[in-house]
This record gives sequence, C-alpha cells and structure tokens, in this order.
Amino acid sequence: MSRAPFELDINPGTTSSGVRETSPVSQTLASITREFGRLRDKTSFLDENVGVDHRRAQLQTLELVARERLREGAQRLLEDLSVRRGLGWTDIARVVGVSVQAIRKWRAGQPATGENQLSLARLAALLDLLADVPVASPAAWLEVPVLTGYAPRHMDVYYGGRPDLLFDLAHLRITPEVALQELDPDWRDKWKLDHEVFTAADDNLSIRRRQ
Amino acid sequence: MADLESPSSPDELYRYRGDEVLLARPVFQGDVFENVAIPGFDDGPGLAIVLTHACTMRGPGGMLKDRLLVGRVTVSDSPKRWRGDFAFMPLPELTPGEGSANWCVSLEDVGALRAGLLDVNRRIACLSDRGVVLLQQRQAHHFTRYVVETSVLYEQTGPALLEAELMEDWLDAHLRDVAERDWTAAHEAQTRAFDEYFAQYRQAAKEPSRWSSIRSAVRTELASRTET
Repeated sequence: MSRAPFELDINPGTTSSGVRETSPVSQTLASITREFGRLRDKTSFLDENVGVDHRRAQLQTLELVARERLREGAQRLLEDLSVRRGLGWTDIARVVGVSVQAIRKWRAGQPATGENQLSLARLAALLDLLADVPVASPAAWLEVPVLTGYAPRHMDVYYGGRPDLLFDLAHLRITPEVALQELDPDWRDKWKLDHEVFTAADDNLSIRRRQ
Repeated sequence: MADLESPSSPDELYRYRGDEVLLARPVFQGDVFENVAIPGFDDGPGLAIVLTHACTMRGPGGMLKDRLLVGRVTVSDSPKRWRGDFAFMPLPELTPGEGSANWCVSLEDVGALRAGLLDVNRRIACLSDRGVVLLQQRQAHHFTRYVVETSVLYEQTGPALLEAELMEDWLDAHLRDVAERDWTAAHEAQTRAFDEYFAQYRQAAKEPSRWSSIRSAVRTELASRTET
C-alpha cells in the first residue's frame, strides 16, 4: 500500500548495541520541517515580490485614471469632489497643498496650474478606485480613523503619500496596525490618543479620558 | 500625556488672511477683527480674536449670541514660542510686514464684547480648522494645565466646523450678487434660512462618517436653490 504524503513510520528501532539510533520518525519530521521551511522561504519571497509589484501596479492604475480625470479641468473636478463625493474644502486644499482661498478661485473659474490640476485629478481617481473595491462611501471612509484610539485618518495616509496602503487597507490585505507601522514605526507612541469624544448628558459632544 | 502641538508652517494656521477674507464666512472662533475696543481695556481700539468656543457661539436662527469672548491681539517684542509661552497663542504672519512673526494673543487679556460690535467688513483673518483646534488646545491648557490632543478636539468641534463651512458656501452663493445696501438684511435672512434647513442634519453631524454625505446633500440642495 502506498503511503500518503508525509505519512510517518511509527516503528523506530535500536541498534544491536542497545544505543538508540536516530529515529526514522525524527528524521522524517526533520525532513518535513526543512521542506516546509524551504516552501515558506519561497512563498514569502514570492509574496514579497508579488506584493511589491501589485502595489506598483495599483499606483500606475491610479496615475492612469488620474490622467483620464485630468481632462475634466479643475472646476469640474472640484464639483465632483465636493458635491458628488462630499469632501471638505479643507481636506481638498491640504491634499493639493494650497489654501482654501486658492480652491475658491478655481471654483470660480480662475486657472489652476497643471500640477495642481493633476493633484485634484489624482484625488478624484483615488475615490473612483476605492469605490470599485467597493468602499461604499470612499469620502466617508477617508474621514474616519485608520484604527480607533489613534490619530491618523485614512485621509492622512493619503496625505502622507501612501495611497498604496489605502488600497491594501480597503481590500483588507493588511491590518490597520501594519499600515500604521509602515507609515511610522513609532506610531503607537506618536499617535495614541488618551482621550475620546462622547455624547454628554446635555446631548452635546464632549471629551473624556479614553475608557 | 501629549504635548501642546504647533503648526508645521504659519500658512497652516489660516483659512483666510487680508484681502482673501470672505465676507460671507460666518463669524467663528479664531476670527480676527480690527478696530475693536474691548470693554475693560484702556488701550483703545485694536485687533481682537474671537475666543468663544465654536459650539456655543450661536443661538436660535443661527444668530450669534449677544456676547462673545474676545482676546487682544498684539505684536510682542519677540516671537512667542509654541513650546513654553503657554499663556499666548502665537499668530505668526497674521499680517505681512516687519514684526509679522510676533503677532500673538495673550490668553489673559480677554473680555466679553457685544457680538454686534464685530463688523465683518473689518475682519482681517479667519483661522483654519487646524488653527482653531490649536487655539482650543492652548485655551484649555491655559485654564487647566491639561492637554487634549488636537485630533480629539477636531472630532468634538467637527460638527461646528462642518456647519460653518456649509453655511459659508450657502451665504456666499446667496449673497454674491446682493447690493451693498441690502447685504446685512439678506445676510440675516439667509443665515436663518440655512439654520432652518440644516436642522435636519445636526444629529447626524455628530458622527464623522456622516460628514461627507451631509456635505453632498447640502451642496446639491444649494445648487438647486441657486440655479439660474
């Protein structure tokens, strides 16, 4: 009868001198363990490579979609971001790296530089791609914290130049802890919040030490 | 325990400054006005910043409460430090020119002022959302020696910041073409109209995950009301 893969020999013997030989079971286990180790190395190497390539591909897709959205111009992009998506002017201005007043001027039809228009298009593209994941309301998702009890919101991850982490988070490929670790190895000390917001007895929001 | 925070640059502190200040922007915590005489001060008219908490400055109809807390804004001899000069809120580059790094408000030089004495035509700056929570953090610390993270202050003040931004959009769209002589009456009428319309969203506005859908709904409504 043929053996199933990794089936073990459970009859170890001894030498004529009475000295116990290296057990065939131990040898088999050692061999299996080595084999698993080799497989693990291979897959983790493969996983790392695929992960890097996948992130690169996601960023290239973001860039391609952004180039398509760029054709709409600043005014229409701002309308899409603010009305359809519901982003706040402050967040839009921060991501583009300009003042709220500059955004107001573009809304009124004054020209934005090519680079600023591309930043707007990239943000619009990010929301399009997140909606495809699907994240039900990408703008709402961007406004909530990555991890309860820590300061960064998903929007801060984008502002920090890591849209790739957002895609991985949205697809549940990484945990919030892994994302924050990639953003800053000191995240636990740096961004931990000692306080929280709650609804007080007068039905208004108030602040207390985190429970 | 967290430390008091600071902006990465002066630009981060302000939403509008100088000629940029939008007339339609609702008066808010952190607005700086010129030509303000603060009762109990014998230094005559000068710059003053609104210190009343954003959540408590408006009453029925969205109207400002009768009295607001304001602080005297001055140029100090040297720039106030974010870390150390805790009785002050630095306001670097509030205005351009020599000594612009030294603008600040002393959190001890404060007084109550009739809201009607604040003239929006004399407003020279509005703090950004970040600027407002930095001011709140220093105010809270000044009175209690206790530090609350600005992220938490932002979440607590978020509903008021959201409402102010949408009221700004609303008022700007409705008042853009109003003649100067009619502006004050139209401003009050549209403030009341917005307050009445926005009432349906106040409960939901307490939840940050609802902010984007509220913005979307209000801006869509605004577009439909102002379509020509």
